[in-house]
Amino acid sequence: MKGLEARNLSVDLAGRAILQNVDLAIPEGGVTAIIGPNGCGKSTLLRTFAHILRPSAGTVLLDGLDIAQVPPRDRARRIGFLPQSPQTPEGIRVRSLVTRGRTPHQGRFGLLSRADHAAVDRAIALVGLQDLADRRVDRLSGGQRQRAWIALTLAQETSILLLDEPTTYLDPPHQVEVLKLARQLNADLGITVVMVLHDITLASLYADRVIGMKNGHPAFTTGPGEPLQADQIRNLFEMDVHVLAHPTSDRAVIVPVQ
Amino acid sequence: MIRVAFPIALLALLCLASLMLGARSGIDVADLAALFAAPDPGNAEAIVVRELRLPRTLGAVIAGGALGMAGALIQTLTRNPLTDPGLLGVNAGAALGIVTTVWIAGPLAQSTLIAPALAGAFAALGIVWTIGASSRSPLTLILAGTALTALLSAVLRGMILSDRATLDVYRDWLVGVLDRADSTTVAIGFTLAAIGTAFAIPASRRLDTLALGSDLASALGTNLIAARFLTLAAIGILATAAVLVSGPLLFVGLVAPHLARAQGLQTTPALMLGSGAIGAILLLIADIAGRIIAPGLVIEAGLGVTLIGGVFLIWIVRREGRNPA
Repeated sequence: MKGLEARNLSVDLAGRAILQNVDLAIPEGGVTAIIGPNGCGKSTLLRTFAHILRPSAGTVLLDGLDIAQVPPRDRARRIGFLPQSPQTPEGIRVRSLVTRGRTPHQGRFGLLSRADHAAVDRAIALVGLQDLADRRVDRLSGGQRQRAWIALTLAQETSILLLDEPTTYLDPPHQVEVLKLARQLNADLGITVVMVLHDITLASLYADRVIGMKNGHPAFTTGPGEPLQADQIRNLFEMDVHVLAHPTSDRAVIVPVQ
Repeated sequence: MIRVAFPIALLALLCLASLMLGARSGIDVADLAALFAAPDPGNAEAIVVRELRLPRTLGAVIAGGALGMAGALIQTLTRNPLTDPGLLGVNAGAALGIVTTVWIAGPLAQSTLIAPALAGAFAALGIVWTIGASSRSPLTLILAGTALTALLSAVLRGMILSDRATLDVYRDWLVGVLDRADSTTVAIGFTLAAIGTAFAIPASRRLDTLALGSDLASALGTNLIAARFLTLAAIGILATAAVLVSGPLLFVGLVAPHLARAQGLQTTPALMLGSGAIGAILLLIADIAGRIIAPGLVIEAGLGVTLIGGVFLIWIVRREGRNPA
């Protein structure tokens, strides 16, 4: 299968089992959101898909091959990963930050080719930061900074993009902006996007598929066109909710029962 | 182009000045050219230039350059602008190597102290690496280095306080040995600095991604363990080259990366090379100034560089604080 797949996957962190015997497929194409209560293993799953964490048992398959067998450089040209809080190097400017996404494409001496420059320009344009390309990253607003980081992963030119809570620390308009960008990347460039989200309604509105994680297991997976059900959320978060119809789309809006 | 040409030209000019100026009356460019074109072994000026000023000039370039590069690497690795390559325990290790040898064997010639200084520096580096390698955090290495430095300094203090001759040798070494650098020391220092640079260039490229956090570095295909090992080996070897040639200079490795960053250098390889050039320039200026300002009374480069570097650092801190661009 093209895409990512977990087979009988178990992951331990500091001696504690976080994921246990997970079987899950993320086929190519589409935007997938992973939701679930704190500590359910959703970030761990994403980080294991990115091969940052090593499984204690089972395997992650990338296009049907064991990801541990894929050379790091090849993996980095196939899967982009944006951690929840990456480090901003002191005084770095947007273009220089985005250029670092070219690392897996560069030759031995790290000289930038014309293709590298073109990919960096394209990535900056995709996130709409052309006018701020020479600004210092630490002087940007939260939303602009997040777009700069996404541009770094776009310069990597991968067909799969994993985003770990990309909307955390952002105010509502900037959250929507980042999620719209994710949709646009999927629609225009065919990038498979998998993201961990905290907000259930945003996941419902902007993802084609929603995976609910609970206690280290996927509790449910909705397919494209299947709206979230109230009992799915109720079981997942152990919280009473109403599921409402969105006034202008077929998506579900989830609000807590008062 | 100008950004590359200017520091190189400045460095060349300073080297020339360092060969020409000194407590002994100045030598002009024509004399200097003649000295190198047709060496006259009996000429007193030729001896001064060849035996004293040339090793001293090369020593300043090697030590300043090595410390500048090592400083840029360690500050990027630890993401801490206050770290100095000396924090890895290399200086304390070299000092203890020398002091132990003198304490046991009595005062010795400068050149016989090279081996114990090297042995001490590398032993300290090995210990710090062994303690810190298993940790994911680069801070562990700094803490291990700081702890080891404190421990070695305590032992060292015991030795110098119990023996007058050891104290004299140690004091001389502490304020900088640049003015006594001989050709053997400089040759060994140069070789070490070259080896260190061979590690430093690939290390600096990997630091570009490592500086984004270890998760993102991994996702960009960087092998974290190899990257850390390369970087530490580079810092350790460069710092050892410097301590061998110039004694423990504390400020160059701290201030040079700040001056380089203020030039707007963005990638780690560029920052490291710029910092190396600035380190060499700083140490040369300090060494020359020491000779001119107080002829007869030799002001050691170690003191001069701290004075000049301190002024520069304050100026940068004030400027950065005033117009955050």
